[in-house]
Amino acid sequence: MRFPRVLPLCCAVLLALGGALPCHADPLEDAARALARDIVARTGPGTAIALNFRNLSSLGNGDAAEVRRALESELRHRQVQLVPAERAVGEVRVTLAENPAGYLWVAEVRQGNSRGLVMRTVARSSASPAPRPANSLVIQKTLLWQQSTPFLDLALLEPAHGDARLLVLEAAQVSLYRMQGGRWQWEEAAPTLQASVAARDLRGRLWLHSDAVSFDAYLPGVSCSGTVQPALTLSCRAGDDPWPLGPASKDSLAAFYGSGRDFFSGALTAGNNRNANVPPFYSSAPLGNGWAFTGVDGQARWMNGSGPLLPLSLHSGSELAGVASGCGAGAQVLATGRGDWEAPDSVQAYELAGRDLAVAGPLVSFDGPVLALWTEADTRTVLAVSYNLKTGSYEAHRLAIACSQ
Amino acid sequence: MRRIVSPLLAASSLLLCLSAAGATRPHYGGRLRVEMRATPNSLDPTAPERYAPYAVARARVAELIFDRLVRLDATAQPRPQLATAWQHDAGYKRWEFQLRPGVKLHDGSPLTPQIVTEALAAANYGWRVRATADTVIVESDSPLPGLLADLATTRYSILKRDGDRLIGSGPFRLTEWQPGQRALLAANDDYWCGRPFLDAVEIQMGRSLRDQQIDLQTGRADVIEVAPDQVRRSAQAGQRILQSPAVDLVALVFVPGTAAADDARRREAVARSLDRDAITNVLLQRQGEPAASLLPQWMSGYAFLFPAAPDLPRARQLRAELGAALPLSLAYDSADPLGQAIAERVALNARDAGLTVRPFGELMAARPGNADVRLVHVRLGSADPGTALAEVAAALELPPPARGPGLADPQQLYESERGLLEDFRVVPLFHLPEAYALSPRVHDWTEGAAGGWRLEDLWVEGAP
Repeated sequence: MRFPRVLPLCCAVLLALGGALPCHADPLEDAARALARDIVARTGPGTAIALNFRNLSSLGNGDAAEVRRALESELRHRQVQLVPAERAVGEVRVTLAENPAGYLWVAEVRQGNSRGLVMRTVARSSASPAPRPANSLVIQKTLLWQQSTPFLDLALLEPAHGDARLLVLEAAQVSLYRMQGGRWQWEEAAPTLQASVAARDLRGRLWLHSDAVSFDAYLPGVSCSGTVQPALTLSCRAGDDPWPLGPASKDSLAAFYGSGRDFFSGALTAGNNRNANVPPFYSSAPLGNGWAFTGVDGQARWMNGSGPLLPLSLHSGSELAGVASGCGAGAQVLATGRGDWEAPDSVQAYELAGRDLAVAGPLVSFDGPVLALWTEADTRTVLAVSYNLKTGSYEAHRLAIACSQ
Repeated sequence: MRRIVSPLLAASSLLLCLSAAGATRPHYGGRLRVEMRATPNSLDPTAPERYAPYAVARARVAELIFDRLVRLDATAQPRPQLATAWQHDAGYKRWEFQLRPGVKLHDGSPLTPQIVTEALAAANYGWRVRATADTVIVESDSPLPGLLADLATTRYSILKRDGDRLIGSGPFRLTEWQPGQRALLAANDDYWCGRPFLDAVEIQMGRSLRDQQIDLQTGRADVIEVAPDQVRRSAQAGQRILQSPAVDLVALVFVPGTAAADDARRREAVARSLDRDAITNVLLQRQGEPAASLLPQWMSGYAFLFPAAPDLPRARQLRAELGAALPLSLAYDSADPLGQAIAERVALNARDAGLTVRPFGELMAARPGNADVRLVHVRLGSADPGTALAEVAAALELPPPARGPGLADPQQLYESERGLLEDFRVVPLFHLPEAYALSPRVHDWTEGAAGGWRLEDLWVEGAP
């Protein structure tokens, strides 16, 4: 059997951490065997039947063929003879269909004048992206996490010694998971402070301190500080503290967020009480000696020193993040695509070329919109939070740039 | 009592209403201009509305103004809306709903259990509904396994009645209402689920399809309706077309008590004569799905079990058994742009079986006249097949089907649907999608699982 085609989450995370793959699952095969048992309960063992099979569902042809093989195998195992129609005493017509809740497999059983019907519901499972081959300045994408409910940001704590931990920021809480036995085990959660008025396009940020045990969390109108050792603690307060834009130093640049909206107001602050203003923006990334911003008006701009803002020909979506890959020009800007939320998305790498940005390497695809891009603490990778339109789950991928081969 | 939604959901459920933001993040501001043909005179979700186009239009607007206790997600599973958690007893006869705290109605007053109680009681006189300090309890003498899906329909909108005023808590508040002509909505800044991106929505009613096309092309409308047979042409003309799942059931309904329609053999003969594929391919330009079932294949998963192909030999055999040839009068809605063509095609098919069917147009929005058969539309208002089947049965005056909890037992649902159709009182023809053309400035158009508008997630370009 080709199953499993689904890479369970624990496997993906282990891959990200360089671990082994102890996982196994073949839900379609199990369901096919269960359907076969239901059919035999109707036909009785030892019956010679003609089996007709069709797939009306979104299940791929390869998987449908595997389902058929598993079904036939189980029928034969239960002494059912599968014969051509002219030699059969009964006919079983199996249809793989589906409805919003999942796959619906239907077997119509006909023997003489008797008609019977067997139905079995089968849960849909998610598909994992195939690993991409290395190419010139290619973006490598590794699934770190997925869950059915929205989350805003995620941070992976990988200490030199001890178990890896995962912080997940949601609107109402921060959850802590620990990697144990190859699986993420939920440890505890701490509530945030909900803003008085919800934002429809809610955003949030987790910011790790260099000690890898303490962190800050930012939500519109709420700032929190917390630690993960010896236990998860979180202290939140209402306020409009500026959100740090970069990963490395809080003094580098921070921006005030427009509470009740989904963008930064454009008021910037840096260390030594240095302030600046740019037009309202969604996202930013270090670029050269300055910063690039994606404006709410659709225009990308480059703030390079104290000179005027320079327009960038960045035909991207709203999200930007910087990555210090060491490849090519040494640093790149990753940007999302321009599509709407109901379409698949992509992330493209750009490099500074003169006073503008140029595409660097092929883009990497996502099965739904990328909701957030944040540079991770080591500055060499970027975390992408996305919504998978195929599976309906929220996912976090780590994006890294591989150099030319 | 078995608790089926954990208290943890209450904490996290706020996020469930938040949209997945776009790769291009949504922009705030702007007015969306929507046009429709229908001219509904009321926004009251509980008022009876026999005429399907008005009922659909009313539901579209009501969804923007009023919340429900729960909503259905893309997999037709109930999710918290004004209720954050719920539990029921083992017999599904007693349900208790925990209400979301801090919700404000459009007049600034708080949502209370008493308001919810009155709204639910007005929507269903068969229930006993009462309030506690922060919960609402629904009780019934008969089991209510599909209650959650029912509560997600617009009929069970939560609203406060203040004389003729209907006050909701939804993403938009009504600022102007000219019955059958115009509705103007403004963003609810205090919406518990987050303020909509749009500032306002303007809905023009009673606009012909032709006028809607002109308005879209001249930039005076952002969202217009497109008839099924015009979808392909509009797309070829470069318009941005979006279609819902197939949610509009088109069916023949034989009127009880008429001599010509009361013989089951005559009804079956008409049903067997129908060439649904030809009607769909030619008249509907392949925009519909031929169907002999009440529920579409995408919703039930088993619609293929109802044979939709014509069986002329059987139709002719039934016709031969009938003896005297009573003609059947077939009424179609003269306001339906495709009604006459479909009715004439049905008459043509019936003639091949030796039956006489005489189509005539009537204004179904007004009081219908005498007919043996009617060509009707029924909008499936829920993605839950149990609820959808119950609604269709009620709309077509069929007996209420047996209910199970959602899709837990598709076989039972299939048997219920088969029972509703076995006497050929209702003969499904096809399921049609709703189609809209959008102006280029519209982004992130989304729909519910069974169609409908989610304008709170939509944004427009060019907003200040």
